[in-house]
Amino acid sequence: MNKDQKHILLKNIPKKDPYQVPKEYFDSLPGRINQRIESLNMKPDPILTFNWKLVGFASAASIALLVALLIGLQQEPGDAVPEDLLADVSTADLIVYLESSEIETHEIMETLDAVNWSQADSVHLMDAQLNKEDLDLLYMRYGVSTD
Amino acid sequence: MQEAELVSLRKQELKKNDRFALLVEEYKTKIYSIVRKMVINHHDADDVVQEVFIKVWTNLDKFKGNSDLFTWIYRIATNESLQFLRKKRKHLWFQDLNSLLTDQVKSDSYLDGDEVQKKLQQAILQLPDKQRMVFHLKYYEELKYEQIAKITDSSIGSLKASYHHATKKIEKYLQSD
Repeated sequence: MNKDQKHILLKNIPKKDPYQVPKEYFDSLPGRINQRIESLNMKPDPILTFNWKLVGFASAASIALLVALLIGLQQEPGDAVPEDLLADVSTADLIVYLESSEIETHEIMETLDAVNWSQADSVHLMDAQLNKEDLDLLYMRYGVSTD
Repeated sequence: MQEAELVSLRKQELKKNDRFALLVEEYKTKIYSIVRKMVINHHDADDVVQEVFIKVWTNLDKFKGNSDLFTWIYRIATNESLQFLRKKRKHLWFQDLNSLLTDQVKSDSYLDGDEVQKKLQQAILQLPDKQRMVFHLKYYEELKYEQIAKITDSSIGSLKASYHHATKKIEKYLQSD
């Protein structure tokens, strides 16, 4: 580039639109714009459609949830612990039952795990504080002679 | 057609189609000119120009006249041009858009063969998009700063600074080899 061209200033450059336009471009432009507008206006309104796959999945999930819920509700509670059941029965009822069921003393004793009884347990038994009247009643009941 | 005439046409209750036709006739050359300078390629410019006038059509009934029609249409044109360039830039992963546009200026068969003019266009392409837009509106469209401020929603002071820096950059480029 020579010296003159090196010192090009903007104000020295003729102001002209350098971009040429294809022939008849502006003549055809309004028609093409109108065509595009018409095609936009002619677009049908969006139709709501069901996504059947999605509906199917949702239904299956709902049914599965319902079945799980029903199964859960129908399940019987686990067997109650025997001790818990007994705790609900009053002492008076227990005595009545024992009297009416004709269970012998030795039968009751057999149900106890006598092997695991320790000396200490025996002492506790021995230490049970029964008054004389209660003892006499027990003796009479079970035919134990005090002699 | 003067702005007042267009306003009076509205008052004459012309059908929307007729009003729109008059607007297209009045602004098609100016809008194409500003858009073409921004996007360079003729076919891209054609797409953008059509988008501009479709937006004008769509919003013509909503136009309340709180700005003049000229500002309103030019604002749509500048926004559409900048949006086009943003989208194009996104699609170019490793290429620089401005370099691509510069190559197009060199090879565009619709560009005037004058070497100085070509170099000027290349110089302008070194500017960021918004600054380039301001330069075109001031230098080529010869709009007042007040008008450009309304179109670009910028302050007059920032526009003056932007234009001053743009001319300095262009002249520096023109003086380089």
